Amino acid sequence: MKNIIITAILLLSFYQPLFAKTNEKRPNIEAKVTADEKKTIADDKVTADESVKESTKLVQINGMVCAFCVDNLKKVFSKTEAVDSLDIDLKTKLLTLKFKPNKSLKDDEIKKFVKDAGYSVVKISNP
Amino acid sequence: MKYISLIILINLGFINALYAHPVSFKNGYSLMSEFSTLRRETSFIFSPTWNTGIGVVLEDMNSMGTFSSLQASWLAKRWNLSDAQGNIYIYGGPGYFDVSSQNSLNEDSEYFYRYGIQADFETRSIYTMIKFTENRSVSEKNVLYNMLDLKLGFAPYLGNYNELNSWIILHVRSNTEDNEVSIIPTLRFYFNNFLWEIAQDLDGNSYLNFMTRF
Repeated sequence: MKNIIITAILLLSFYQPLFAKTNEKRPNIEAKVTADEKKTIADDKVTADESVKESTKLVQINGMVCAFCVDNLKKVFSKTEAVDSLDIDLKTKLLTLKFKPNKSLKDDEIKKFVKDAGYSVVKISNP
Repeated sequence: MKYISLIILINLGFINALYAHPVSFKNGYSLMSEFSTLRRETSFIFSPTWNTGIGVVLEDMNSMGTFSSLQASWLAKRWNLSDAQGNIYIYGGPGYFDVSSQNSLNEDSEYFYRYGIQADFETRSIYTMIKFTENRSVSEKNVLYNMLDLKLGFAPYLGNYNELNSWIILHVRSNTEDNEVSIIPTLRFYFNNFLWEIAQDLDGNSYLNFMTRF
């Protein structure tokens, strides 16, 4: 019985697809637009891109190797009101900080938060 | 001591890792528990800074008694590398020892102090750790017991932080309390900020370990 339980736990734990999220494909929507409409859309996109640049920073971090590392960073950055949301890619060791409107953090402040979590900053850049 | 230093150096020379860090993050808390048929241990640590920790450790050992101690931890050195992290921790503190009335030769209670060193180095897929802890009597200055833990493990797949992560670990423990070396194959799982381990040593003793940070 003991062996059966251990085997079941092993199988469940290592069968990662059970826990992976499915990436659903978004449907392609084609719309007919005039040349003027295209220009307006393009202008809006540029403005939106600039806004994203201003409100987002990418932080390359050394020392992140596990879920606890990610959780540490999340908890430390949750203490500042400037951050709207953050995303961490363990594979690339990249932290993406999205700030609330009209709010941001200086690079030195970001470095201090990362250090408080126990890690070190390699590079900070805008997207 | 030379032997221990050598093991630490060998350990650091390999690619290895550890999660049960006695220090977490600034203003963070760690709760760690180990339950086995041989001993129970619970520690609660607060980290005022990213490289220090203070807390309490409670140990209940079948054949000796109960050890209650304060613990200060210091992250003496951390290597933050692009795909790995290495650490050396030093910890210690005073405590009170309640001798087991059933199995011990004397039934006195006494003060003791504990100290230890822990080193680890980890990647996302390979893990090793070495930890040495010694408890000494204050009055008689003799060693009550010491324990050496070695862990070597690997992750069969790379999980993201919001998925279940699994590790297979070989844990070797030398404990002067019973003068035995235990070989403990262990399964480790973690999900978000929760970690738990289940294990059974070759003598049939079961282990359940738990850790969380908040």
